[in-house]
Amino acid sequence: MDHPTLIANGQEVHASLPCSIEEFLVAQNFLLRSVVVEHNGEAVAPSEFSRRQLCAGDRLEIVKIVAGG
Amino acid sequence: MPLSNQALVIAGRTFRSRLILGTGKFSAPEVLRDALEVSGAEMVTVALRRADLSGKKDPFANILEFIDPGRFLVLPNTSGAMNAEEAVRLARLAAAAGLPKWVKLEIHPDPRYLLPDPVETLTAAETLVKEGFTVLPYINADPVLAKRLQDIGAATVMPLGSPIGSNRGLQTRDQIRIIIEQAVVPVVVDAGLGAPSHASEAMEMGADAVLVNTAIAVAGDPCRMARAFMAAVEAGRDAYEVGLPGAQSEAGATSPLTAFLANDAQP
Repeated sequence: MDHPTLIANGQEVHASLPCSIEEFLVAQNFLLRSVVVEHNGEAVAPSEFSRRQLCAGDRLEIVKIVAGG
Repeated sequence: MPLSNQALVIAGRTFRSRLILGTGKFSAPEVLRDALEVSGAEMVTVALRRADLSGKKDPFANILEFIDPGRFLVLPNTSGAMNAEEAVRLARLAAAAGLPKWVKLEIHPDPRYLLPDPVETLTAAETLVKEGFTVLPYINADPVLAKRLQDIGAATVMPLGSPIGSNRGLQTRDQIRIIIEQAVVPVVVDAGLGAPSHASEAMEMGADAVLVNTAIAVAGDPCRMARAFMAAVEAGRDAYEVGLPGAQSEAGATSPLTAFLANDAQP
């Protein structure tokens, strides 16, 4: 059986699709309030994580706010 | 902290401190938190990086747990962006995260010298200004570029003194002087300030603020160094606001030149 994949941070990741961004992040063990997400090139506010659905082949950038100069 | 007579105003927001702190390179987030407290800084930079999908714990990954966004203006930078498009994406991500719509625009693809790309920076600045961002562009000390950025609505210009982390001070001082002379927005000298005297010099020249990261973060005692930089920024700004006497080609005596004692022992 083929497990659907999407591209997260440049890597192919298997996921139980379709699912929301929130469900995907939880499955990847991310604290929801600690990341920001770009979905198919569009920045997504955390308030939208539960509403945005992910499909096979989608591109995600999961980004953290870190120290920097 | 003594107040200067003139407040720093960037995009309509007033700051008492003219020292902006970069948060990179600290040995631990608690050290950063303590140095920030001592520094008196009211604005700090942060970066955005891909989260580690392997789930490895990174102590700096939740930096906002150590910096209260209610007390400090958290300024995201676009470091890591190779071009304007990536910088714009990073800025939008930071805004989506709930950070204030301010951005330190930095695009430096070459990792050896980390010099900012002027073309990509101007392109990104135009886009971000149109999207309502307060844009603080990091640039080489190019007075022409500085003017172009101000013309398109940048909130400041941030010329480098010398390359990031090089600690070489104001190697670009002559160009910075021109930028300050021609600026209609605050000028923030950023990068290469390796000693408090460098920060003082920038402020004495009329810079509106400085951004310091490496010199504080990697110091043996970051809190003490933060305090030193704070004092240096205040000293330089006080001197500038009071007005410094210009360099003179001849001596000007400070003690009276009359009524010397005669030397009776002379033959």
